[in-house]
Amino acid sequence: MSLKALLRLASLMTGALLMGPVSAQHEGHDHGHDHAIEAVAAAHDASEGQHEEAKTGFDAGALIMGHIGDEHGWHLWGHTSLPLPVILFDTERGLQVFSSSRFDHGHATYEGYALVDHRVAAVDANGNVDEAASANIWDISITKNVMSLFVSLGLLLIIFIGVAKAYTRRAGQAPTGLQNLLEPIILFVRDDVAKSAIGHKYERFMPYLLTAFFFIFLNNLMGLVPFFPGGANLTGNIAVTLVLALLTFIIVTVNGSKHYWHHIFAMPGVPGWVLGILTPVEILGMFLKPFVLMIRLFANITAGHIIALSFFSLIFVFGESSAGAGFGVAIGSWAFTVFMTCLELLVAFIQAYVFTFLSAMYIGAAVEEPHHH
Amino acid sequence: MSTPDDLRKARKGYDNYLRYTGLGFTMLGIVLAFTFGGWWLDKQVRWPFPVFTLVLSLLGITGAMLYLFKETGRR
Repeated sequence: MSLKALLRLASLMTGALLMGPVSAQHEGHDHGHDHAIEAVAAAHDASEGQHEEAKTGFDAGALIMGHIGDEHGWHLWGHTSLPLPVILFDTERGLQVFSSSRFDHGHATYEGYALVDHRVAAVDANGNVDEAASANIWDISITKNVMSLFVSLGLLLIIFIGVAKAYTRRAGQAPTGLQNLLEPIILFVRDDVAKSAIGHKYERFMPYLLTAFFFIFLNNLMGLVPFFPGGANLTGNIAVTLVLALLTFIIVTVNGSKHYWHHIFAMPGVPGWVLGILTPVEILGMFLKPFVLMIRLFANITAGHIIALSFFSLIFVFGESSAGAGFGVAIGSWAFTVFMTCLELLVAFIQAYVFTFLSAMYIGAAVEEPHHH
Repeated sequence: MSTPDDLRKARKGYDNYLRYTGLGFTMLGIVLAFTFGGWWLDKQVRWPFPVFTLVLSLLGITGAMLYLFKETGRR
């Protein structure tokens, strides 16, 4: 796993190194200004997110961040987007519900609201952001990620209700169709994840582990589909992975046995002065373990999306300087993207497996009974 | 030829490997948390010398090592 992470980081950095100088140089050439100042200004602009009026060229950073982030409305192709409901709870003005098409992709203001950096902000009559009023907004819109969540939940329900029905209808018979496809995976989660990590108390945790596994796996796969209704970076959204990790944390904490808490607060067989260090460390570890679960899934899936988008961006970055260079790079980009997507198919499974396995392991440690040495 | 037993054994090795992924990040988290705690304490007491940052960061490293021994030596 660590080798893969390293490879990822290396390719990301290569991408950044390739892209950084190329775009900076290009701008310097266009405007005839000092390269360094231009590059710094461009970087500053990009970091502030207010680059719309200043830059006309291709902005790889904005493209990539736009694709891995969330948005109001779902971009389909060209200038066509699927409008999604914007639901705001304004502590001053109450509940506001309207379509995201009212914003006209961030160009229009509606009822005193506008999109600033893909977020809803309150604006005054002149279109200036009103910070105080913006602080009152609770944005609970059906965004692209939420919509994607609904789609995959629907899919999961259809698949698993169908499979469950097949088991009751064809009890004792050989599995067929979808049931046949999923049975080995379900058995894999039971035998190689739950049983091997939790032990004989595994049965109680099967619903959570199976749900987590298939939820992550399906959403990872949906994220790899480049067109609607795929392509949302759901499992690469830190809020989603936070909730998943929080669920594991709650299950571990609620099911912690006396043995488990005893090992955290007073590790047996450890001298008192060491306990002074070890107990705070164990308490920290209680929170750090799910925290690492959250970061791992988020980082792996987001990195996968960034890599694919970086390869695409390279085509346009080179295409801007000359069409020939664009075509030349396109061949390499295409090959690398195909290769990386194949790898991502593997990663989609591995990350779902790792999350479920580690959750099961933490649960296993929590429900463990004392060993008789 | 690989028998199912071989596969199971190979997977056990992989499971053991998985057990320790995240150990590094947890250790890093422990050191950072201790150091941050020391830094915060130093800010509260305003002594001319950052004694808590120094002591707690070293304690954090010790704690991370203890954690490593504890986690890897259990089985």
